[in-house]
Amino acid sequence: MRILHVATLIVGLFSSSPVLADEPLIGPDFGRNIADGFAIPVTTEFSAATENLAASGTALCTTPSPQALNSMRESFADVVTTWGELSVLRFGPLTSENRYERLFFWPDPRGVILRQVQEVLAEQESTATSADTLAEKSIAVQGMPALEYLLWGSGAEQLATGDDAFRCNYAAAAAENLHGLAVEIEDRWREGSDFHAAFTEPGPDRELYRDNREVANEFVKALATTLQFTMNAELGPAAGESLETAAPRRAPLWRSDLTFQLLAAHLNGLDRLVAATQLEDTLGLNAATVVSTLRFDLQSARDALLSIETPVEAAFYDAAGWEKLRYAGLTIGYANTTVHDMLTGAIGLVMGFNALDGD
Amino acid sequence: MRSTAIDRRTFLALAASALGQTSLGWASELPSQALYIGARRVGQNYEAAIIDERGKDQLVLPLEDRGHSFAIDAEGNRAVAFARSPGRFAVLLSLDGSTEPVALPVDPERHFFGHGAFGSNGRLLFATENDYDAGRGVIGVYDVAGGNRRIGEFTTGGVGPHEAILMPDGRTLVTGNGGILTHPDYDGIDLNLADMRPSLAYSDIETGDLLEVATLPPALHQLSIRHLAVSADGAVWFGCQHQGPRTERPPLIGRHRRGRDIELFFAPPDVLRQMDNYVGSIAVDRSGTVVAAASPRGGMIAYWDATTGRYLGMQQLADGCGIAPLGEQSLLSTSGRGAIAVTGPDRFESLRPEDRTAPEWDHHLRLVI
Repeated sequence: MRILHVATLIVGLFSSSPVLADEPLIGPDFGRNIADGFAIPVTTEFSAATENLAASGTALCTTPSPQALNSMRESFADVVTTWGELSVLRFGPLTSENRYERLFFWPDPRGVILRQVQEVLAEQESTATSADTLAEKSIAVQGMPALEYLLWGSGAEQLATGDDAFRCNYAAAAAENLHGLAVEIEDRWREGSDFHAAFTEPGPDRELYRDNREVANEFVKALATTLQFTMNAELGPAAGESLETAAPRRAPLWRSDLTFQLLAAHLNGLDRLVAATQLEDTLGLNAATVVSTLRFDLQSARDALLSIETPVEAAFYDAAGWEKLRYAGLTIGYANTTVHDMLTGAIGLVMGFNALDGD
Repeated sequence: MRSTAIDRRTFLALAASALGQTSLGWASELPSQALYIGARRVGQNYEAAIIDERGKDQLVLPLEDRGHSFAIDAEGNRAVAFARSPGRFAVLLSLDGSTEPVALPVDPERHFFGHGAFGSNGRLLFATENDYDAGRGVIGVYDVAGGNRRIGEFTTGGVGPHEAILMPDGRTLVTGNGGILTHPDYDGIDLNLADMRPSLAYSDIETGDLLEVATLPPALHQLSIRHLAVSADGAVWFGCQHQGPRTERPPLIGRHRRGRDIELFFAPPDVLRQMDNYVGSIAVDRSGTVVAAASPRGGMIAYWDATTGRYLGMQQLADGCGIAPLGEQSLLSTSGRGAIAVTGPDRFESLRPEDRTAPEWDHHLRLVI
């Protein structure tokens, strides 16, 4: 049985529509709650985690050792966790200037990352060893999946011995580039920035968000997009139709064994996002139940992924591991259905039949 | 597949009866009966429906899954209903209901994007398809005169081809290459958002040769060219979907003439904003001098003068996307909320208000004859 595919969702929100609720169902602080309760904390966490990563990269290249390599790998794992949570804010600062793709180019069904990173290594391309020039190169060679290959892929052990200074300098530059992007995102969500002002105080004079419905629409799309991406771009293609057709190397970050940590972080990020809205406290009982149900499913999927103790590659081939993945996939599907069928109505938005991307 | 084919006599009787009921209050725009075809959802079922100019059902045929658009032959005798992308079916329909629908063969290594066109003599059908493992767009060629076989394919010169239409010369096919790389294993995921190269491509349908590829300036590389219509003067008009962030509000309507650069046309800022970076379909009026673009996400249809490129106005139609030529300065329009209306730059006449129990019309409405 195929694990699941998650459908796209687009909602419409035009107040002229007679089928919309007459009263906004969300409070005036909706955007501010998200910004203060989730976006600002998580962008700050990501900025700090990438700063640590960049520092550990510098340290590794200055004084190579197994401990220094281990330290950089641990910093990378922390970055993955905070990234997984931040990535759910797939709008505004994170999507401008292709920041999402530069941070985490995925999916990569044709193996572009591996091919291009290996080319950079083989050619010892000097533009890859400073963050500024690396940022100008292909997005496939500068994000977290590329850095993961440098830290865990074939030849990574030479980082510990100092025998591959080029690779180390490339990894350090990649870390610094990630931190630069993290700071840009942090700055754009900061209190006082244009984006923060538009998101937290939407108004008729704002170009970006004119009212809270538009902010709520962004929130719902963020939920739906993340669930779809987690399932259809990250978990589903690797899990395949069955245990027999699983292909774990199609999962992101399998080399570092961080796949499930990444996926769990997406779900945890969504749970934090939903919690930050305070919808459970502000909506009526029925609508609050929808939110509770959604959060329960997000947490269940997250916990199922985190409970897998088998290494990533083995887990996809292992009956017990695959069963947990299937459960996580089903639960992500339930969460997606809740968002589609219930949450939109609970907060006063209307589904569009014709507004899907790509048609 | 279940069939509800009816015989030609029944069909014509139905058509005559429906037309007879529409005389009251109806200032006829056309001397003859015009018929339209669209895909729609009724409850959990999908169907292709032929309606008249007043939006009345004339013939309904079931589809196995959600449909998208249709190719219609020059005589209005046959149509091919395409599945919504990533589509796995295309069905040849007899529009007089005289023969059973026939499923066209599907290449297991390809999927449909939902659009296609007949060649001028009606013998061949051309469909936009995804050669997904190679990551390139192709036009699949089907012999619909003998055996309904897939007899070949040729490149579209880009990725993610969406709508393709036959030019008035009867020999050139123009294709909107949306530029978005997709793969059915990654449902709904754009694989090349940062590296899109949309284009408008002209192909010779007799040789498959790529004749010309028109592209947008690099700054607009995320402006996906998707839907097409030809105006009376032979220019190709296209509607776009912007894949970049909502802080960007590029123009969504363009015009191209062979051998020239693409021209883009703005709408007033508030109109452009309401369109929400998304045009779902494009059509011209009967005279071919007014271009209409529907934005279901914006719940609206906007109009341009096909000669001057001047913006003419807009009408609200919630989740409206089906638009097809009706009269001068008017289009028959359908919505995902069941509404049917006559719309134009200065006109809005509701034929059927939106209704939760009514069929939900999908993206495209096509003029049959």
